[in-house]
Amino acid sequence: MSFDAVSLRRMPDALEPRRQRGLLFATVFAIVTVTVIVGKPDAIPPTLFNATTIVIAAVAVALPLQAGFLNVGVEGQMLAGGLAAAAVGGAIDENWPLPIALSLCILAAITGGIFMILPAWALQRYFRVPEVISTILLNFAAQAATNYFTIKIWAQEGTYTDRTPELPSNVQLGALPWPPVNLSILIAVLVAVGYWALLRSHAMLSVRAAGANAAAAELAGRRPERMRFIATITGGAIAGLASCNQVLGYLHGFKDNFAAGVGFTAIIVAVLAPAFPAIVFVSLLLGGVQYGLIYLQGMGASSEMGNLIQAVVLIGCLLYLRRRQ
Amino acid sequence: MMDEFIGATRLGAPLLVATWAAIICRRVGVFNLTLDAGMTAGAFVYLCAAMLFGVVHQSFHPAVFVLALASVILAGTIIGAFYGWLITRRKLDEIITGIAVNIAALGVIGSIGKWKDLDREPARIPAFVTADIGNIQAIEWLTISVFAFSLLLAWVYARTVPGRRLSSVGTSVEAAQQVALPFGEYRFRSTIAAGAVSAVAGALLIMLGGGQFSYRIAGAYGFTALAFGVIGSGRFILASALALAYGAVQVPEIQEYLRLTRVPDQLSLATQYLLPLAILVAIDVWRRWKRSRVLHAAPA
Repeated sequence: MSFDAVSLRRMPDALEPRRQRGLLFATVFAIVTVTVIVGKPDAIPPTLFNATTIVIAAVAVALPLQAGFLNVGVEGQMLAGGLAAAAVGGAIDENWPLPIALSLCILAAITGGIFMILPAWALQRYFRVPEVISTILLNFAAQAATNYFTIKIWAQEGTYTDRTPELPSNVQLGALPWPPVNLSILIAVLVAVGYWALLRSHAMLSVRAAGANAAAAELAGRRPERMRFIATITGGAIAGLASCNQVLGYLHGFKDNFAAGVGFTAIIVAVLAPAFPAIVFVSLLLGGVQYGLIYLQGMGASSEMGNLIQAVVLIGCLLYLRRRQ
Repeated sequence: MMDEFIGATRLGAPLLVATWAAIICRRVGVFNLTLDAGMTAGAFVYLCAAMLFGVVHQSFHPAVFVLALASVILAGTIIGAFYGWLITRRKLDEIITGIAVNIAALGVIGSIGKWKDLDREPARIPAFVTADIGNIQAIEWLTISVFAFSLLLAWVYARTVPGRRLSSVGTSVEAAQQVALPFGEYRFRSTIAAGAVSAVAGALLIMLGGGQFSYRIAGAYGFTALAFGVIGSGRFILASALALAYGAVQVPEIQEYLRLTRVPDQLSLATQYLLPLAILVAIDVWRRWKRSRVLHAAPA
């Protein structure tokens, strides 16, 4: 009995225009509903802020998934990326020019993400360890390790804090006129457009071939392992980048377990809408749902309710898609 | 030395029971990611049932234990049946669905718990032992019988007709179809059984952990159990050895904690999550070495 018995059924990677229009209407409807329910247009900036992280994280899941690598470890990669960005940002002098300082922090976030996904890829490639197990366990390890660094290394003697000190202004992603939306929304746009361009590129054919049938891809002269490696590492880098919205744009420092729940939301988006622009619509939809839930928490609902609703949405959508097939 | 052994069995027992659940599913070719949910649900229902029935009986009573355990099995069965229905009857992807069911179950438990403020309640539940790891005077029949039960399961799967039929489904669905085995039904029933078993593992976490409950009680036990299921290639006896070794690794740290000589930090916790990965790598290297030896020994 081998792990090959576990087959990841390929999800449709290009949605037909009718479904995309349907998703667009659903998103607009959801945002309008949230706005009406909450009773103020202030709901839109937090929705955009949530969607920024979700879009980037969803691409971090969707891209390796095209190559047959299910990246369940986005949360761990975000935590590692965020910690690396905060560490580099904290070490940078305030007088450094903003473009250089900020680029270094973003680069550190990317490196952190790669650092977390690389072991999972290597374990799968060389030791046949299922990536689902390795990425999940690495998630837990990242949570514990970042917690240790935050509380034991950065906290001042005799004090308890679950976040690193405030980062200097030259490594903060600038705020836009609609807080908490910040410049990382540009990163999300770049990632989404880049993913769209990639989906239409020749290279993506090789990546998809590696995911669909590695043996056939090899016979056709492709190099499936190389393609899987590139897709996986890029996914990790993008997951690290996803931490910038929170760490550099909003919290201005690393907060313990700041990425809780993002990984699961990203999997939902990547599974339901792996193509562009549907990935953006669904991210906006779930961003709105998340904000609505935070609002409901103020009215006494529990924080776990959010995960429950998202899980029910995912199961419902999967059942619907299966029925249509 | 005996204390350490008893401590290892106590720490390894819940993980071993969870590993049974992983193996039961693996034997029929299902990669069950809902074990964490089953364990948390089991622990939570055991807490609720023991509190409810304990209040009725006003004190600890063997009937409380039986009722609480029956409730735990029921809860696990519901989760397993729901997951099994989705992946066998509705044919959804087992990994994505497993993650969704996991999150949904944890969401339900968290919501009910917060609503009823159960996390603030003192633990008034029947726990078999004190928190003193390695106390040989405590009731150890439970942990010993858990390990002994592994032998029984191994025998059932290896030597009996139903066990072999179940294993054949996981080995080759096509072959199972050829001999007209109802593989869908086998998978469904095995998933239900795995749900019930994982819930019992969750209840064991409370029983052997001194009666404490938290929403993160399952930690990564479910995923570690899955890793052990993969490492052991579906073998119950190898899984027992792994669970015992895992418990043995944890014993010194917990002993230090109880003697107040050192508080375990999050960094040592991180290494515990990496341990199953290290074992997976070691097993793969060992298998390759063994294969290469066979190839070298073969005549030209």
